[in-house]
Amino acid sequence: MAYNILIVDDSSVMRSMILKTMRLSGLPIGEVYEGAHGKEGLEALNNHWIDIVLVDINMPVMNGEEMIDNMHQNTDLKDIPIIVISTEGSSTRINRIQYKVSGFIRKPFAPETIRDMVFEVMNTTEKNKGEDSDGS
Amino acid sequence: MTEVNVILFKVTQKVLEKLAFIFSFPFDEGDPECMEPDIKAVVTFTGLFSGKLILSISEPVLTELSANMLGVEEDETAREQHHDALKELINVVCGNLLPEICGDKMVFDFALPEILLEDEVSQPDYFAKLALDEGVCKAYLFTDQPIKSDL
Repeated sequence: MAYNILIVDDSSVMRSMILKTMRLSGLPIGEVYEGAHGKEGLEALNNHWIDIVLVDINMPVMNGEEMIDNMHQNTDLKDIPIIVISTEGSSTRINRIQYKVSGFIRKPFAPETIRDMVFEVMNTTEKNKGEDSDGS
Repeated sequence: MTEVNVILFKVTQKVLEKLAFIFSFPFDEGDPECMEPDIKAVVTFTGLFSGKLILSISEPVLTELSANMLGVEEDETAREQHHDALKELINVVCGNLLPEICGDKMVFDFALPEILLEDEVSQPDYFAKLALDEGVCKAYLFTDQPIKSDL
């Protein structure tokens, strides 16, 4: 099964870097969607099936935290795994964001950090789906 | 060199290396001045103290930086991508610099980075100059108050 991914970052160079890392990770990748801010990210989520979201925090128009809060308020989007990739260095703010998402990666990142985090998050998601269907 | 200048140097060096595989060394005042034109970007911040960080980088280095970040050849990069790469670089440097100076409990808000069109930069409060293979990278930190050494 290939995963559809959404990358939201106001830097097109950073989006390319993340995508390149994802392609090298060995994770089966289906469709790739991109957004330059949270609003574009939400539009992509409302129009396409997305399996995992990688999102920056500090962006124009709508920042990453607002986008995440919007996703959590939407029953169709609230269970999609989210990994934040940000320069945010304040533990106060990171702790606030971390409990809302599946993972947090600080820039600059090593490619293997993204690979390991994505695998961990997708494995946990698949496991949870399996447990849900067993229980039903 | 003040402690903040050392942190400014080390953080810029680490980010250049980790983000774009560009290695750097302290610029020795005996080294010949780089004559290449440079491109500058600025990011402002507010928090425990307010200020701005300016990064200036030689154009040939910026081409290499963009190519390395994108994983393509240098002649495959466009000027717009060079600017985008520099803005991302300064964003990451600033995001790593302030917690390094003040500790990670402090919260800072950052404006979006912009390309700076002015040629001259006024005298900064803190400064670092890095020698790179094809040019230099200068980091200028301005703050609205002196940074206390016990932070």
